[in-house]
Amino acid sequence: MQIQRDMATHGEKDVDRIEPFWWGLFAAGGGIAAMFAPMQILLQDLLGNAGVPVATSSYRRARRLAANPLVRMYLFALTSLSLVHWAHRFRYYVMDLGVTGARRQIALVCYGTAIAGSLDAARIVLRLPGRAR
Amino acid sequence: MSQIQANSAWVRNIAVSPNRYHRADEPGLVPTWWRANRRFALYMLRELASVFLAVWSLRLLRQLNLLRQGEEAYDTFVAKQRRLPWLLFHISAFSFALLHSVTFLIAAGKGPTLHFMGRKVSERTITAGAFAGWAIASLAVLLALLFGGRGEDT
Repeated sequence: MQIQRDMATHGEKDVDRIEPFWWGLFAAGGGIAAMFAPMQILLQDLLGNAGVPVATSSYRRARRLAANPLVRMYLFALTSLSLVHWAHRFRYYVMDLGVTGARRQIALVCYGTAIAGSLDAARIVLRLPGRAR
Repeated sequence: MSQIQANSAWVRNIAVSPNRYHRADEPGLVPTWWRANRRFALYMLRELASVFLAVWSLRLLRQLNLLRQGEEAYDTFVAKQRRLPWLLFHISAFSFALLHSVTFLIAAGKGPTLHFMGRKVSERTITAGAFAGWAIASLAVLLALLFGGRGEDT
């Protein structure tokens, strides 16, 4: 009954069935980036470049680390979901900046970029070399 | 509230077209609305964090891809990261990543209604749990990057 009332109130065509899918991926991307990105940027890109001996500053260590299946899954999740997170936020950010037209095209560009980036992330992670001999 | 009612409320709250609730749709809203106060400006900064995280992710993928191309290509890329423009980008990316983490984890406590042993879990408890998770995840990254990948030659 309640569902019927909701549909009568909002109209069945108003229920966007794709939005929850993107919103779920957006939340997952926001969560994984929130949990892992700051420490990785701090170590890999700031302290590592300042001389702290982190694994990513050394080719051999980076290669050994990236050979671990868990690390590969983490790298794929972090990069691909961060792109989806960006797509969903940037789509609305553009509206916030006053661009209210071309919504379908903006959404296509944002989600299309995220999908292409995620496929590329899968390709790169799957083709990472194994442990150096 | 019955399960059916709860489900329909969930659909109503999550799945309504953005055309209906987004601020930019308010009639007469000027593009500089976010400059009206600090809360709006912080909101826009928080949203901008996703851009830096996405660019940083693409840069990380480029670095990973170079692992296939050999030690020289990888080391050249890493050496370039020490240049000033990249350093400024990394400082910006780190600052925005921190802003994203803090605002996202605080928001985590405001979203879901969780029950444990028949009692509602408070917003403070959920937020504290999210920050504890952040600390554990950060520790895992710290240990992996400081001690991971070591071999006989390192």
